[in-house]
Amino acid sequence: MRRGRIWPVLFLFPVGAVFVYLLVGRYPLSPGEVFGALFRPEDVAPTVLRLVWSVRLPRALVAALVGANLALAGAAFQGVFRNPLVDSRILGVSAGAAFGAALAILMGVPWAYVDGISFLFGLVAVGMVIFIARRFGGTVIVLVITGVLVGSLFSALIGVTKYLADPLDVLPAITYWLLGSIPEIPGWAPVGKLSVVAALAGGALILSRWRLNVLSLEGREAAALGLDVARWRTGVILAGTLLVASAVSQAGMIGWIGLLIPHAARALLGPDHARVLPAAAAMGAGFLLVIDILARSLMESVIPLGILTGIVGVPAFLLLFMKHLARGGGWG
Amino acid sequence: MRLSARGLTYAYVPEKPVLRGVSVEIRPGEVLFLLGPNGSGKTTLLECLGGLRRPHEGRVLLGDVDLYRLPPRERARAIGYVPQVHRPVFGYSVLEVVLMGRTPHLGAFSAPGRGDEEIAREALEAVGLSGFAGRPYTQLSGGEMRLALIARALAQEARFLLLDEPDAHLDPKHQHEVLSLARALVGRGLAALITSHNPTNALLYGDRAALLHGGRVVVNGPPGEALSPELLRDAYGLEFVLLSGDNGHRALVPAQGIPANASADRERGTGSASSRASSESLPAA
Repeated sequence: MRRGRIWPVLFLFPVGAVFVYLLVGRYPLSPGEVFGALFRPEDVAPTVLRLVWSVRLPRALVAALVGANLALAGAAFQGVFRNPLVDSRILGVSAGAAFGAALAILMGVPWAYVDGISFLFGLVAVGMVIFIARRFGGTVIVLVITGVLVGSLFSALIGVTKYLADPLDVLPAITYWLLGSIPEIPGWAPVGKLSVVAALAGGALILSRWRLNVLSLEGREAAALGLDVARWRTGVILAGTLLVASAVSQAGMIGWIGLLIPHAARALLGPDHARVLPAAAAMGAGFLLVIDILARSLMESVIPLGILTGIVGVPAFLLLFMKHLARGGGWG
Repeated sequence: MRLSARGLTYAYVPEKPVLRGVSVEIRPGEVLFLLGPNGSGKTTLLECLGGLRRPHEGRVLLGDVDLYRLPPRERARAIGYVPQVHRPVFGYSVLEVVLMGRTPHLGAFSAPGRGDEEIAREALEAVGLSGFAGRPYTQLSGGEMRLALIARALAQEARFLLLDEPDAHLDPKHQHEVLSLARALVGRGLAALITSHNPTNALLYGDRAALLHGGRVVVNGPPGEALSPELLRDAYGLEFVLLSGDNGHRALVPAQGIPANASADRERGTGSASSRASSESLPAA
């Protein structure tokens, strides 16, 4: 496969998507205006400048980073659990983080603290999973089952918060948040938080690319190749957890990215994590940017992302995979 | 240097230990065949020797160092494990699979480089799979997969090879390819432990054979002397017969597979009876 030629495309995809992202919205901008705002700010009207730099660019970057973090975590989880059906929601991270946010909204915590509480609960959920799974041998299957159980527990607790929430104002806020959305005016703080996690956890995963390949073998084989399997597995799970918790705490529950993007990356580039991880990050970023552009331009109001990733993402990827299978490719 | 098990005891269920004080030794320049009925603990012993399953009692020594005190990386540079074949989830290329053997020689956060790739390609050449480097491992045949896994152990630069039933599910020619490769490698100074269900393969390719039965090694010596039809009968609960051919070829096969009128052949010892019996009537793994 001509893999060399695909990398520029992969990395131009999110960059191009950011540019388009800056054009669209309730107040459409021309490419010239956006270009000017980015590179020659002295030539552009202050309102345009403010719209680009204070509203759309941070929002675009939040979308890109959320997509990248979810896709990276999904790829790492699929590798370490040796299961291509695993996604970023495994181990209850998403449910825990979502419960944290729902609880914070229910208690009327100021918005500035909601993401922090959500992030913490995501870590708490996975901490519970690892703690419980350790007592039962800590194998992959025990981890997955415990993850499903803890995830269900937090989903039930989310139900409790919804039940208790005031149906006039608090409940819609929780529901909307749960469906996933990039905040209208996020400012630069979330960009910073997401970038730090992406750089640290995503960077650690990319550095561990070769160990991830070995971890994706059967446990005894990985051990026979000199890996301390339990330690590496825990490390990868921690990195993945940080990525998912950061994404969910900023943008709510956005499904499909963590499942489908790593598959798409593998279909394009083969299973080596040295290629899958960066490709998944780029594709996840570009994909969520496109989805958010659609969410903001298809209807008068903004469509929740969790809904769109399903409605747009599933058929799109079905098509991609049918093509891939028709060419005789496996899951790669 | 030798890899030795000293008084190993291992129990999956406390009251029913599968290994009861087992001692064996793997020496450079030797192929040791490990035979024994299903559930007799062959794989358990192999995993204990590979540092993959800590025995409940006894010690595994690499030279004179306790294997379970060695860091995993150092252990993996000495001992190569060739597991029973299974399809991995992700379709790595054959070269990538073999490159994974370089893992114990790499830093925690590094990936194999050009030098590692050269070593992997040499390993592929040594097992006769040079032309397969770019193919998906998942698309190989059973025999090719085993050869690729042996190549991985070679890329690992392991001195001790532990092969778990490398002859299972293979046609006679591929069995020969895999086992004679093990022989050739041992000729270059490596050591190999091979678990098998085929006593004839032990005769053909083994320097020594050990028979596990009832949690103990009941015999351990040159295959021709150690493996008697009587011992095999006691272990497997099935009559065995030793067939001899004109040119010194011998086969150990279940007697039930041989029709009554073949007994004359057996006494005269024709080669055709032995080859037919060994490929047709041995129980699959």
